[in-house]
Amino acid sequence: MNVLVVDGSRRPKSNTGAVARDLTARLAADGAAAELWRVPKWSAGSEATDEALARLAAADVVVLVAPSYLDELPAVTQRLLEEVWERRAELAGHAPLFYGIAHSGFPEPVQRRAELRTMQLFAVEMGWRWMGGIGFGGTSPIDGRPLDEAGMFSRQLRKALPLVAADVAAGRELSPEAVRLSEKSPFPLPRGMLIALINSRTRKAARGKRLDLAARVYAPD
Amino acid sequence: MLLDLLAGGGYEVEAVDCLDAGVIPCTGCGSCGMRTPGACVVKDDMQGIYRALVASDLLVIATPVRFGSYCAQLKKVVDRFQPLMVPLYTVRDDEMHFRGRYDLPALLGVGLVRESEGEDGGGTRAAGPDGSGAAAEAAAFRFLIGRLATNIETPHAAAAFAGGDEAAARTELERALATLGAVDAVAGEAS
Repeated sequence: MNVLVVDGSRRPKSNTGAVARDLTARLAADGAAAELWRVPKWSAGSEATDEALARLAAADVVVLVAPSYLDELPAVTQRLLEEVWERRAELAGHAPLFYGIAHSGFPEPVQRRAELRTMQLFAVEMGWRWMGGIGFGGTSPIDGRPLDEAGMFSRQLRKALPLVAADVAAGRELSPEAVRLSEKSPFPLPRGMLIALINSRTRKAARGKRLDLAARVYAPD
Repeated sequence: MLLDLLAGGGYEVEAVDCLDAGVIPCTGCGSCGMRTPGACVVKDDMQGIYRALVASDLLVIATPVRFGSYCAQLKKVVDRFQPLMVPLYTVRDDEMHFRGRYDLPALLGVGLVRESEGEDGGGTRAAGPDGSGAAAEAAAFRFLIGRLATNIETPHAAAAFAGGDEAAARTELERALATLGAVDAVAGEAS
């Protein structure tokens, strides 16, 4: 079984990359032929779509891992989906299984819901089989580190990703247990205390740099 | 039609075509948070868009709906909205969010859903057993506009319709504008 894991972020040292690399390694350990591929930059030409189509044509399974930018796929990733869909005739008769993984810094699962729905609708429009989507919150403190070096902040990911990898490698729909684990906040504090703590640190850092955090740079004169 | 409705409602409209705008994708550098708070370090056409946006009474984003979402060209602009927020957290709608930096204008999302399967216009996109089809995309788009409004902390309304039915599109746009309090102006124009 050939699995294509798509890293849907162009950000250097991204948490998306950390998740995608971890999942790819777990898939390989589970016996799948897993390949990691990064979404092309915006300025890439049609050759990048050629490459995407070739990789998709060779895949039995596709896993898209992407950050949530304002609750949705980053523009570069959305454009890749649109370009693949525009040229879907070149993949006629080929229907890989499709899984989606979204993540963001905000803990509530609703903040990944629109993005996972977009992934699902893309799969359906392509005529591919949607195998389920899973979202992780509170990922900001991972800061691009390998998940096993990110301590408590990658705890939910380290619990859920082995289940995700096992489902993907077996060609099964994502298990409810994996989804349940993903929806737990990784933060050890109640939300109100967490916000007070983070804001206090942010304000202290800003004072040290003499920054006005609330500057209204673009307000009319 | 949209521009006519807005102009008829008394709005002075400044339009930005995302296909032509020189806007590069957000790199997620984080500068607008803790290096140059509130300012994007990328000096492209977004600088003017930010100024126009915060000075406006109504923000309209109009897009072809792609898999329930904005088209990528518009998403490139939306991704750059981060400087509109302060890097301090708050709770809004029982969710954790960044605080707003400005009193932003109300948001109207307008989505044009594909109604046919192919470029030749043949075939209507019927609802699929897996929740697909034009109605599903419209519902996903309306949900997304609500999410964007929560993120940037502003009132919102959404209109989503297939391209072939002009009367239905007008009705939906008028309904959405009415939701945002533009009803008097629009009704006055129509009478």
